[in-house]
Amino acid sequence: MSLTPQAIDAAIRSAQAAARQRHALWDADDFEALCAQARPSLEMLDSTSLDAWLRVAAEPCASRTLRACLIEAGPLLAPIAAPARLNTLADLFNLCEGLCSAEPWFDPYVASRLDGLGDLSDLPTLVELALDDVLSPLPVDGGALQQIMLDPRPIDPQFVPGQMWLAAPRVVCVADRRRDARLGVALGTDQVTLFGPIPALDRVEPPAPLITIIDDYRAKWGEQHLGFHAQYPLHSTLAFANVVCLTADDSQRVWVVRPEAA
Amino acid sequence: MQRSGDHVREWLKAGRARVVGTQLRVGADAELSVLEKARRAYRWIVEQAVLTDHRDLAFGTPTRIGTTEVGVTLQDGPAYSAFVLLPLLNLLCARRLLFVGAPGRGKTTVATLMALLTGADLPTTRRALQHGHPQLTLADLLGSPLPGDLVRAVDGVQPPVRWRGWITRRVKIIDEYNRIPTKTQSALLSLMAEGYAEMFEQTIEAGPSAWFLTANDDVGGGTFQVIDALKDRIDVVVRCTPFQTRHLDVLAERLRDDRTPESALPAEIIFSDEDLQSADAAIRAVDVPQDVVQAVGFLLGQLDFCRRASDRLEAMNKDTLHLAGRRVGHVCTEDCPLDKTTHLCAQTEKGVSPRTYQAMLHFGQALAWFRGRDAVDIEDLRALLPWLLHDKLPPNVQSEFFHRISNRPYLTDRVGWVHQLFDRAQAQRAEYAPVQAKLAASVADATRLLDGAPAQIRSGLTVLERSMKTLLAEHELCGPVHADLLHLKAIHARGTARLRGETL
Repeated sequence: MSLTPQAIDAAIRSAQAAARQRHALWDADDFEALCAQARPSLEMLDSTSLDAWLRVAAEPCASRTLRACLIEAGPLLAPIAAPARLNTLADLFNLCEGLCSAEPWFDPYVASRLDGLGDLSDLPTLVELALDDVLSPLPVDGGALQQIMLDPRPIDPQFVPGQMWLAAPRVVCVADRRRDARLGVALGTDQVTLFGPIPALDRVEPPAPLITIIDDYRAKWGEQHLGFHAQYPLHSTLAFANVVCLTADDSQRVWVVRPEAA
Repeated sequence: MQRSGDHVREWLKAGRARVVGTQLRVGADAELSVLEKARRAYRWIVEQAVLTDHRDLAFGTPTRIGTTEVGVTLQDGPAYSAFVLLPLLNLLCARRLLFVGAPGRGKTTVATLMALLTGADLPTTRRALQHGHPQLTLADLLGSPLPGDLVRAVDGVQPPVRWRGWITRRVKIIDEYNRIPTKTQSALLSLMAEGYAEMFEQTIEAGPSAWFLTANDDVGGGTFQVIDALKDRIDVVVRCTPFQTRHLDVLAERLRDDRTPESALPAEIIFSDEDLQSADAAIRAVDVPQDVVQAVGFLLGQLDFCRRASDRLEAMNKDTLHLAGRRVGHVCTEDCPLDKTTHLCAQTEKGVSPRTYQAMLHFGQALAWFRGRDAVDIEDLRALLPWLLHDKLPPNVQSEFFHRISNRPYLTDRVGWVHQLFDRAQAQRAEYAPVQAKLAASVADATRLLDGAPAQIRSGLTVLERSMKTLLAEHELCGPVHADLLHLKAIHARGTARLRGETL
């Protein structure tokens, strides 16, 4: 049975008071903003799940994945049987806190991968698969090269890609050339995606490049020659293993060249 | 390399969220370091409890916006509210702090918060708070034997004293201390200064104590004059900041929720006994570089100096004047040849005690620790000085320095005045540095010779005498020169004692 708006308001106030007693740096405005964004979700929850939701939401965890899932908690928990919802919320919190304690790109990357998620019933497996996808080493073969164009504007309309460097086996950090901002490129096995914003990531030593960039227009990999679809002149290039990342002087896009089966 | 599955399983296993029955519980966050706890406590008090925008302990390069008369000074380093940070540092250093300010400005609230930060509960803290009033007796303050014990007392055996519980508490709060009768102030003095109380030939040790006293004003408006010795025991004075109307909505919210700052102290910022011990050790481990000690010494040494107090070098200090019933103003303007607008000794009526030096260095260490530094910086001491010298340094209002229109505001703005003293002292120190370097070389030569045979000792004494003669011939007899002459004279005395076959 869904709760009345008054009951939800009372529960939020009570959670606020309890959180204020626990946390010195309690951000009441942020909590209220989260509750307001999640209001349609909260109206779908039963009393026990609402209390659990508020308990998790009141923790100072900076996870984007957690925030996104909490806002959509109503539909995400709906397919799950009521008694299991508390465990699902506990797992969600523990996983997200874990993501925040790991490499700084883990959480924004997983948040981007879980975008459009239908339910939270198998969250640990989904997180594991998402991470596996970018932590496994790049293969050295893979067939014909393909070019993928990534557009940062849906994430950050002002982003103008500049320098790039490898931050994990399949994660490239792209810095904005004008501002202090960065996005990540996840070179997953099935798809290549942009995610972020992310903080400045440490560089990892890239594997030796197998693809040779000939000039602003072309590259060569063994017998394959490839003409770039990227605009030119190129602004920056990053080549490692069988991947080439490109940015152009007068474009907001990032191009990735890699074998079709990567 | 750890696989993603391992990560996920570990996070699920070690996570803080657990389902217990029909409730989801989230365990406490990982234990905060004591420094992080102190920083969070500071932020919580500033943002949630006393609501102050005043940042009067500022660091970094200043930039002035507006005119010299009307403007804003911005600094590019961190800035803190002295009203909150100094009590917190006082708590961690276990020293003595006085809040001054009009009623209702949060003096007792901040003092109470300091007690609550040590884990004390609110009712106990309120019970332990000592309210100064004209009828406060020794028994009220310290305790007394129970009436039954007094009745049963045997000749020659003192009845056991039932000491008041507040005496052994870590945080000791004395509200309106300037309303306490003089006799009771003396008992308070032993407790504050020596750390024990005495009654009926019995004593009790106070243990490590952070003292918080309050007074509605700092110009003697209390019922009783506060004895000087008690004033000298107070290490730091903090002025309450005025309430800013932009925080009125928070007051309205507190009223609506029937909530006070004292009732809402978050659990994560409470210091355990181990935390306090660890903070104390970490603060004491902060290095105080020799240059910082000398910078402070250069300023404070001058403040005690008075050339007209005596013709004898050893008696050229303000104590000599005061003991003779005279004031600096009596001799300074008329008799002294030094330029009153240049020499810092003319600006103050008194110097400061060694206790003040010690408090200065200890608070300097605490501030450096709080800022995450492993050594005290000159900036730390510059920022702290106005509060450490607040009650200790009365200005010599008759000085020519204060007659200048541009310097008159310093008579009301103590912070600006002390900063001006410090900055001038630093500039003078830089100017005087070549003289000191030359002297140091002479002292090193002389000291080496004084360790030798009688002929060498005599050469050493000649070096010292020549240095003194040069110093007197080339420089005015001012504070720094006086300090150096005293130093040279002491070494000279040691040399002559050696010549006589004595050791000093």
